[in-house]
Parts: sequence; C-alpha cells; structure tokens
Amino acid sequence: MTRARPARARFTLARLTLARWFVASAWRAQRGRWLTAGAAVAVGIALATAIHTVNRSALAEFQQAIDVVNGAASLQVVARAGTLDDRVFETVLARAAAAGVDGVSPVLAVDTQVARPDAPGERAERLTVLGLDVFRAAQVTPALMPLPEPGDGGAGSSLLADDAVFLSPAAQAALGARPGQTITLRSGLTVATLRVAGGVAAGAGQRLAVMDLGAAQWRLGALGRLTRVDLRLAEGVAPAQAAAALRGDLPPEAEVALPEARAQRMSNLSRAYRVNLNVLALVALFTGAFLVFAAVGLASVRQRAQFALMAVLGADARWTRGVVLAQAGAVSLAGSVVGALAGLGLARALLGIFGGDLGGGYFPGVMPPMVVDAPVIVALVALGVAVGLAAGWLPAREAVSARPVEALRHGSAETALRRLAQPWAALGLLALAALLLALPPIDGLPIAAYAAIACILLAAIAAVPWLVATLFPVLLARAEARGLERPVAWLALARVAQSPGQAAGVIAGVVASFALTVAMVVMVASFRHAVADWLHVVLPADLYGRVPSNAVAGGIPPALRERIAALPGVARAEFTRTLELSLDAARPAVGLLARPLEANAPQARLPLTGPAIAPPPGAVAVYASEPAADLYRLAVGAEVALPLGSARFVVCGIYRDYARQHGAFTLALADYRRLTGDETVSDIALWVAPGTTPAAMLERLRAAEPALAGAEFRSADALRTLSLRIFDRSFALTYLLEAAALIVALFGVASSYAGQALARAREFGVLRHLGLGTRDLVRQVALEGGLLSAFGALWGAATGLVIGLVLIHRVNPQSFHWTMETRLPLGLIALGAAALALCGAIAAALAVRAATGAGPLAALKEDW
Amino acid sequence: MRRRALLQAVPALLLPRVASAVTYDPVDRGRAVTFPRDHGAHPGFRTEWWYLTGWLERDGAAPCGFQVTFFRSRTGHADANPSRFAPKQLLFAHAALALPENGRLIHEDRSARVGPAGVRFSETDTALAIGDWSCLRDAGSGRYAARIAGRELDLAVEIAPPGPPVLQGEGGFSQKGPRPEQASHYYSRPQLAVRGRIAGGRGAARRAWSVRGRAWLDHEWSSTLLDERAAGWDWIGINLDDGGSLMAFRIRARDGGVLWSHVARRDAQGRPRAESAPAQWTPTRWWTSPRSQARYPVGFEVTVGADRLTLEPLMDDQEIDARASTGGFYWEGAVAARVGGQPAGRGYLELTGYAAPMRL
Amino acid sequence: MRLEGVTRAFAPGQPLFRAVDLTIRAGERVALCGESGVGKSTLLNLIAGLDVPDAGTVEVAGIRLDALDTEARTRFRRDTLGFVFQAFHLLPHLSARRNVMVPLMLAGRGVAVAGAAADAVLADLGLAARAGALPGELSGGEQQRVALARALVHKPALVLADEPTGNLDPATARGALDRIFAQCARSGATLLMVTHSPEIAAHADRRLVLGPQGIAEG
Repeated sequence: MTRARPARARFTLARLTLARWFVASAWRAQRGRWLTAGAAVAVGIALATAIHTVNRSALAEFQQAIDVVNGAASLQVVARAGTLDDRVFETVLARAAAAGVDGVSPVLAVDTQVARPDAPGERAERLTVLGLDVFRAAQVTPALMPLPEPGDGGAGSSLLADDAVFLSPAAQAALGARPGQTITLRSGLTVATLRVAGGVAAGAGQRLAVMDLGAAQWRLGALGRLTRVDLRLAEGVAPAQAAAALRGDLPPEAEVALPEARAQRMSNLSRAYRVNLNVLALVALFTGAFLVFAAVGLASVRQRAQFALMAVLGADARWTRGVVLAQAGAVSLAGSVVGALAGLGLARALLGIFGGDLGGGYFPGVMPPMVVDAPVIVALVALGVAVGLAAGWLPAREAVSARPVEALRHGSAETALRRLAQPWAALGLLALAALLLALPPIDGLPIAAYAAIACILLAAIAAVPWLVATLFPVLLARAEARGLERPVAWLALARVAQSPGQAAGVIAGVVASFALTVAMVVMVASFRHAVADWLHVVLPADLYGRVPSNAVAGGIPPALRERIAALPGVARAEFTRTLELSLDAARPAVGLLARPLEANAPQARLPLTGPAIAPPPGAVAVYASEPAADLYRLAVGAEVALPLGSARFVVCGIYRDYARQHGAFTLALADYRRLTGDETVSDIALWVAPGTTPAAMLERLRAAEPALAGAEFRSADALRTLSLRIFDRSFALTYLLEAAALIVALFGVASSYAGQALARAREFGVLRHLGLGTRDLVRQVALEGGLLSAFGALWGAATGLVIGLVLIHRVNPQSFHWTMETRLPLGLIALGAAALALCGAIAAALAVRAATGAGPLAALKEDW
Repeated sequence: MRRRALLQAVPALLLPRVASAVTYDPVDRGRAVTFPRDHGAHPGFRTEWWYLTGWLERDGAAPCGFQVTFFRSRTGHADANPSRFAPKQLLFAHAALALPENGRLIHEDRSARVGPAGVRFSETDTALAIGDWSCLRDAGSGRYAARIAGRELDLAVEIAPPGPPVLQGEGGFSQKGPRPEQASHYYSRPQLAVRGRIAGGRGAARRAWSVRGRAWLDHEWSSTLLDERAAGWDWIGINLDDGGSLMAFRIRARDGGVLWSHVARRDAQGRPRAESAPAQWTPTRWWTSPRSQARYPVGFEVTVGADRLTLEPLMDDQEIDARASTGGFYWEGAVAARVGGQPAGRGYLELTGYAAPMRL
Repeated sequence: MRLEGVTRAFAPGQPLFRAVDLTIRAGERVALCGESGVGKSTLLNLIAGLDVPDAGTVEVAGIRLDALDTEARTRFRRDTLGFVFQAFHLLPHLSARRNVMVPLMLAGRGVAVAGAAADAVLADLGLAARAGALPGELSGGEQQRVALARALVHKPALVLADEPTGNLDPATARGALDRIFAQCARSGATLLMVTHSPEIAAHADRRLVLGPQGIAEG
C-alpha cells in the first residue's frame, strides 16, 4: 500500500461529491426542465415500443393462423386452381413410401359463410371448414384434430358423424355457437345445418372448423374433391427431395408446396400490412429519437455556461463528461424505461381497440394476444439512452474543449450551433437519397425507397439552420426596408434571423412530423382518388350480388342464371365466375375472373392502363391486373401459363385493380367455359330497367329465388361507399399516429420556449429595462414561435410533397404493385400548416408566460 | 364367442349420439352359417372380427406368439352419403409379436375408413386389406395368407386349415349374456398350420426368422352390446396337443361375480364333447402393468369337467395399448396349457376390462 | 427628480433603507456612492420604475412613479430613461446598430427613424465601422460604447448608469466616462451614476453617499 492510493481516493471522492452537488443542484433548480425532458424521452420511446409491439403481436398471430390452418404439415400437395380430384390421394399414397413420406392426410378446405337466422341483416361471418380423415390427420396434423365434448359417448362418438362440426374456441365465440347447438353454413348455393360437437386442438385465436372429410364432401357440395393433401415426412427426409419424388406422378392441376414456400407465401400475404406498419414504426422511431435528442440536448445546452465556468475553475474534460453523461443518462434511462412500459400499455389498448391489423382489415377474425419482444424493447430503451447521451454530450463538448472562456461569453451558445448553418450535410443527404431512389426493390420490398425517405427527412432537418440563417435575415432586411413600425415584430424577426441553430432545435420536430404527415396525406389522397375513379369504372351496373363462392362451388347453375336474366325489371344481367389460381407456391393465390368481355373492346369492361392487343391466332386472350403483371413480370404480348386446360394464354392488356393485391387475371367467360366446362358463376351484376329501383328489384329477386338467400346483394352506390369506408378505416391509425407526432412536435416547440424563457432571462430583462412591456414580451416570443412554426410547416410541407411523391411512385408500385396519379390536397395542407403555425405561436406564448413570472430584476441579478 | 376390446370400446366410438337412420342387422338364432359366404364380411352388423393367434417355432430361437386381427365396424354415418370418403364402415387391424427375449409385445395397429386408399373387405370371402396389411383366403385351396408390414414388425404367413370350420354355440349362434339378443354369430378354425417369415425390431436391431407353427382363427359378428353389468371378459382358445381344441370364456360382472360362462371342447375330428358344468376359472398369478397400472391374472387354473388345465403365459407382459385405435388397454397373450404337470396344448388368453377405461 | 421618505425592505422588519429623501435637478450629473449592500442598485431600480417603494413617493420629471401601473411605468422607462449597465447587457443576437435601434423601435418610431438615429449616435461614438457586428464580436470598450449609444439614442431625460466602467481597464474607463459626461451634457440629460470609485465620483457635479442612515452629500 502506498500513500498515493488514499490520496487518489480522496481526490476521486471529492470529484464525485462535487459532481453530485452539481447534478443535484441542476435537478433542484430546473426540476421542471428535466422532468419535461424525461417525459419527452418517454413519449418517444413509448410510441416506438407500442407500434413495434402491435406489429409483432399481429405478425405472430398471423403466422400462427397460417400454421394452424395448415396444421404444420411438413409438405403439401395443393391445387393450382380450384380443387383436386380426390383420387389424387391414392396417387400420392402410392408414391409415399418411395418418396420418404410416412403420413398422408387428405383435406378439403371450404370457405363458408355462416347464416345468422337470428340476425338476417347482419354481414355473414366467414368460416373455413376443414374436412379431415381423423385417422390420417392424427398422424400428420395432430393439431387439427377435433376434440369431442367430455362424456360424448366415451371415445368420441361424433368424430365420424355425418352431421357434426367442431369449432375452435375463437369460432365458437365469434359465432356464439356452443357444443350442442347447430349452425348453418353456406357454400355456393349449398346449405348445411350441422351440430357443434366440440372444439379443435389448436388455434385458440383462430376461427376454424373441422369435420369429417366424407361428411364435408357431402354436406358442403364437394363430392369427389379435395383441396390439398397434407404429408408427413419420414425422419431424415428432406422436403425438397420428397417433393421431387412426388412431382412426377401428380396430375397437372396439383403441385407440391414446400414449407419454405408456405412461409414465403405468408410473408407475401402480410406484406402490405407490414409495409404500412413499418412506415408507422419509422415515424414513431423518428419522432421518438428526435424528442429524446431535443429534450436532453436542450437541457444540456442550457448548462453550457456552467460547464464552461467549471472548466475555467479547473474541471477537466473527464469530470465534465462524467457529469453530463450522468445526468443525460439518468434522465433518458428513466424516460426510456417509463416510455417502454407506457408503450406496452398503449400497445395493449391499440390491439384491443383496433385489432392486430390496426384497422387495416388485413386479417379479419384474428384477435392477437400481445407478444412482448423483449430484445427489441431493450434495444429501444438502449437507443433512447444512447440518443440521450449523444444529445447531452454534443453541446457540452465545446464547453470543455480548448476555449472555455469563449463559451462563457454572450451569444456563444449560438456560435456553437452556427457551424450547423451550412447546406453541405443536407445536400449530401439529398444526393444519397437520389442515389437510393434509383435502386430497385430489395427482396420485393422498397427498402431503398424507405432509406431514401429517411435521407430526405434528415436532409430537410439538417437544412433548417442554413435555411433560417439565409432566409430570415433577408426577410428582416426586406421588412426594415419597407419601414417596419411594429417593434415586437422587428424584435421577433431579428431574434429568429440571428439564431438559426436554436431555430433548428425548436422546429426540427415540426418539420419532421409535418413532412411525414403531408407525405401520407398526399399519398392517401392520391390513392383514394384513384380508388374512387376505379370503382366508378368497375361498377357500372345497378345491383351486384355474390353467392358465398369458393374453390368448390361457383354457386349459380345455368338454369338459375337464365331465370335471373329473365326476371321482369332486369334490363341486363351479367355473370362472373371468380376463383383462385396458384401460379407459384411461394406466392398467395391470384384471382381469376371469367366475365363477359368484348374481344375487340376489352376497355369497355376493364380499366386498362394502356392499349390492348388482339390475341395471336390459337391463343386465348387474358388480361392481367397491374399487380399480377408486376409480380409475374408480364408485359402485353407475353405468354402466361394458367392452370386451365391446355390452352396457350397471352396477356392482351393490363388493367388497374386495387382490390386484389396479389394479382388477378380476367378472361372472357365464354373462353373459361370452353376450357373448363365449368358452367357455374358466382357473381351477378344487374342493370335495372327504367321504372324499377335496385331495392325493388332485389326484393323481387329474393322472392322469386329462395335459393339466393345466402347471396349478398349490394347496390353499386353501397359498394362504392363501403369500399371507401374500408379504405379510410385502414388508414385511421396512420392518421392517429401522425396527429400524435404533430402534438409531440408542438410539445417540443413549447418546451423549447419554456427552456428559452429561462435561458433568455437576461435578454428579456434588458428589454424590460428598455421599456418592453410584459405583454409585448409574450407577443414577441409568440411571434417568434409562430414565425418558426410557420416556416417549419412550410418547409415540412415541401419536404412532405417530395416524400409523398416517393411513396406514390416508388414505395407503392414496389410493395403493392399498383400505380396511381398524384393528387395534391393543397387546401388541406395549407390549413394544416396554418394551424401548426398558430399552435406553435400559442405554445411559445404559453410556455414563456409561465416562465417569466420572476420579472426583469432577478433576471439581471443572475449575471455572474 | 368373443369378446374383444371392441365390445368395450368400439361400439362406444361408433354409436352416434343422435338417433341415426342406420339400423343394424340382428343376430338371429335361426340363421345358418354357410360357407364360403360367411368367410366374408357382414357389413349390416355393427361389429365383426377375424382374430388370428398362434404359437410359432423359430430357427435357433425360443417359440414365440403372434396375433393378427382385423376388426370391422359399421358407424352411424348416414348410408345416403355418396362420398367415397364417407366413414360408414371402418377397418382396424392389430398385429403383435410375443418374442420372449423381448420381454414385451411388439405391437402395431392401423385404423381406416373403408373405401379409399385400398381399405376394403369382401362380402363373399375373407379378403381384408388396409393398404399393405391384409388377410386373404384363397377360394381354391382354402388357405389364408396374412401380411403385415409395420415399422417394427413384419409378418408374412400362409395358413392351412386342417378341416372345416368349427361352429361355436348352437350351429354358430353363440349366446353372450342372459338376454337373448346378447349373442353373436361365431365360428373358429383351430389347429391351423402356419408357415412363413416374421421380423421384429427397429433398424439395426431388426431380426427375421422363418417360422412354422399352429394357429387359431376366430370369425365373429354381432350388433348387440354386452350386458350393462359386464366389466370385461376372460377368453381362451387352446390347440390341444391331441389335435382337439378348447374354447372357453366368461363375462365378469362389475360386482365381481360371473354374468355368463361358456366352454366348448372338441376332439381331433371336431366332434363336440358335452360338458356337464361350466368351466371354473381360478387365477393363480397376477401381474401389474407398468403402463396402465392394471392388474391382470396372467396365470389361471381352468377346470373343465374332470380336467384341470394350468395356464402359464409365454411372458407376463403381453399387454396391448390400443388407445390409438380401438381404445384402452387389454392383455392378449400366448399361453401354454398343462394338465397334471404335462404339456397339453398351446393357445391364447385374452383378458379385458382390467384396466380402468383410459382416454387420451 | 425627487424622492421623499422612500423606504424599501427585503423582508418585513429588515429595511434596506428607510425614509430616504433626495432631489436632483435637471441636467445635474450626480454620482451615488456607498458600500456594497447598502441598496444603491435598489435605489436605482426605484427611480427606474422597475421597483416600487414600500413607503414614500418617487417623482421623476414631474411624474409620480409610485402611482403608475406596470404598463405606464414601462412606457415611462421607454420614453424618459436611458440605461448603462456594468455588464453592458447588449442583446446577443442583435448587431450593434440594431441594439442601438431598440429603444426607438420600442417607442414606435419605425425602422427608418430608429436606424438613422442609431447611425448618428454610433458615428458620434466612433463606431460607424462596427455597426454591423454582433456583441460577441466586439471588444469590451466597443460594447460599452454601444451600450452608451443605446442609452442615449432616444434622448432620454434621465440616464441611469450602474458602474458603467466597472468592466473596463482604467484607460478605457476614463475615455468611456468622459464620453458619458460629454454626451449627457450635449443632450441635456440628467445623469445618475452608481460607482465605487472616488476618482470617478469626483468628476460629478454632486457626490451622494448612501448609508444605513440615509443619503448624505459627500
């Protein structure tokens, strides 16, 4: 033991004590400021946590839902289009042993509608019914096994009954059907009344029904049909190898789906959802990180002079760094932890109110339990602390560097930030954004475009000091040249013009959040307009009807079709057969619409995006929707292999379709019938004769054809209204979050001015001495806040327009595969900007009024 | 008669809870059993089985037991359903090898609806198949071929009957309880000569043998349940060394008494011996299953007239876990019979209703 | 300017000074001395209308300050007073010229008038070349001159100076002091200057000493 050690310990202790005094006094003196900073940090982290948690929960449940319906089979033989002849089961079975498959389970999955006799007007619930062979499913997909009620005849008497159906708990809850009751299911025009005999092993959160395969084929009108065959592989057999061994023997309408393909399909299916939520998460993270930076940074800027003094008195950089990091770390850690907890609470509330897709309508019928993604939440807290530390450290760094005395002098806070008033960083980011925009989508996702949006946003924020430093002096000079009389306006303008760095701190949040809001408003307005236009083109008739159609049943047979067309009051009737085709096992099924088309004028029925061609001789004309063309890389004139007979199909035109995100093909009904022999149709469009209303028409139709009881009819107007309502609902939460971001930004303005009111106490004191009244002082600050917010709103709007264009012309085509024309809701944006400027002014005024109670005397006394 | 796990479990499985349009054929005392028709299945009856059990000599190893059973069940599923997947008729198959060196049965089972995937029976002759598990009778030679290809056991045997079937009860009408409808149609084929190959074990541990031996086939069909008071039954079918056969069963009541008891002895020519009194069953040894915790009387002394047969199992653990197919646990094992300390015959003992009804 | 019976206390029962009487005539240049803590600055604040006495009357240029409300006192300050602070207290974000313009702008004279007046005063004080500089870019002496220009630009009747040269080296301080006196004399303003320095006080027309017992001519 040397003597040095106790001496060093004493030294360290003294330094620690000093640091403690310093931090404690900072806390005592500016409790409100630190609390505000902590609260801001909490809000930021809470937003990010909440959105991420909702995202995760929904995806987890969605993934589970997919797995549940598929019973986690290791391999499946599926239909490319519609259903399979049930003899494919024996085909597969014959090859099974050689292919290394030791379990084969035939499945008939039928999408049905549940009739609600108690509430006939209600929208029918959808229910997927799986017909299984329990002896085989027990080996391959045990999770799908029906669970008879305890005491139900001992070993399960209803398992093989011809009238029993087993409902998952979610289905029981949604349909209000308990074991012992009956439910009525509709598939096409088939109606089946079944008794609920128990539950299903898996899928607590998923609406699902299971029944015997033979009973399902009979009761649901699918004799001789299967939709898939689930397979279990013997140990050590690779799925791809088994698939290759099976493929050769399969009929052309069947294909083998690998589990990876299913995962890919699921990923493709939920893509739109994830894209939307990822934007929200990005907004939340941006706003959150900015809030943390602004709050902690501002608190630290205000202490610069004190740190400078400590440096003059002999505090070394390490000590100062310690103190700065301790207080910034403490406040951001406390804020982040509180924020993470609040975020989880918020997520729970959001899931409860909006459901897993946040109102987007992507996964109807799924009520996800909350999934807490601990690693990411810890990472978010760490991010909050890291941003907080950086925000605390950057302003204080200069105070302890080479020239502490400079930091002590007046206005030095401004000179420290003045270096920011250069356009180079912004220009560099903008160049990077341009580069990113030129990149193609990565893995089918517009990641580069998102990165470009982030760059544009950062560029916009980075440009604020430079813009303020460039713009406001010119404004001030102009105003002076015009002989400005109002001292308050003059003072406010002069103040803003000379403090570009602080201006950036005040309004960066406004710029960021308003930019994202405007971008979203522009995108949604363009999108909505495009959808409304499109709805007009695709809904020319007066009345539309659809029977609960599915892979099994198109629903309406020819005789019924003719009777409908001949009903009095029907001016014209058109029928469409819709079904689903699987072109690629890794992608969700595409829609197929067979409808009357005029060979030489398809544009009369389809909203084509370009010119159409005539099919080459011997080929069948099909028209691809925009998503289909994009997803399957089809151009006009390209050949496409549709699993409908052996015809050659040529894409003769591309049309707009906002309804089927995974793509659709349309062909003439006559061609479809010729190729498939399927005479049924599922959709009815009726033109009403003069003198009849759609409502009267519908009444007549229902009276004449009781078989159509399960069909849903809507007028074209009702359909348009409904479509747009669903559209609006899917963006409801986006709006909500952007509103939150804007409020947070205004909160940032208010807290900046509250802080400034203290930091500028001496300035205010001098102005009071020189004869500026209290009210004028508040007016001056309000004007400053208003000017800066107005500038922030305008600059944010400009940035938002650019981002909106990126969303419309890059993100949308790359992730949803549809295009639209740009619409600028300028009135709405102007209104928003004006409101924002006003709110900024009010926030600044309120903040400064609350903080200037002390009066000018104390202010000047504070001078040291 | 018989018995069987099915009498306990399958009817429960197959009986619909709601009134069904399905009506089952009744067992009729006056119905004559005729061949070859009655080698085939009787789908109008609720349950039916072909039960093949026997002892096999292996080259270079101790004798072992085997069992191959096909059960047929008529469910309550509507006849009107035209779907070929409609589960109106089910087939179950159990196969077991009792290798004494193994200490317990190698057992596998299959369950399937009749119709698709080669699951079938014939109404004109014994022709049963669940995929590649089969039991077929050749009409010309009268021989049976049984083939079981499982994960852990493989069996291919050819079976030659020495004479015509032995009709049980009154010309094939076998009373099972105090009420007249508690009965079945029932015939047996004792002293069957078996030749073939068996294999048991998994992967590298699998071993195969050529085998020959003597077996017993029961074919029985019925629509009626056991008496409500029944707890289970004990059954034996013994190929006697003198060429004769012994079949005896008793239906045990829940209260511990005996509801119904029957014994039938035949000489080498198949002529029945009139018994003055029912057989007396006295357990001599008990064994407790580590799986089901059921306690089975694996050793018996059965008194038939003046003879006292002592039954000793090939091994104690011959319990079958049929929870995945017909349901529950039962004991079905190879036993050797001695009279006065001298070997007198070999056959199978079946013990049901000892395990508490279990459900998965 | 007249103070009668002015009393001001920090807290009840702890008077800073009691019943001070003071009269200064227009155009006089008066130095106010006294030990630290006797209330020199408080007295100055009372005269500036930034503080109100607990008892007594304050009258400047014929106006009873203790009878005015806050807004009226603000107007009075704007129109009648000029301030020179020890720490100059220039507004950091305004150039020298605009700092000087502030009082006239506050008086509602407009940019043209205020700018011209500021240019004139700055030229007078030899600062024409530095008019565009921010306070942070000025030397201490220059800052003091800008502060003086700001105090005089609107031709106040009374200039209050609190240790106006306290932050300057002796040579610069002398020059600054001479300028203050000269400028006050030129515009006919009354000057009340708080100072510790007897040397500076000696230059004044009158020298008053504030003590616990009140004001005495020194």
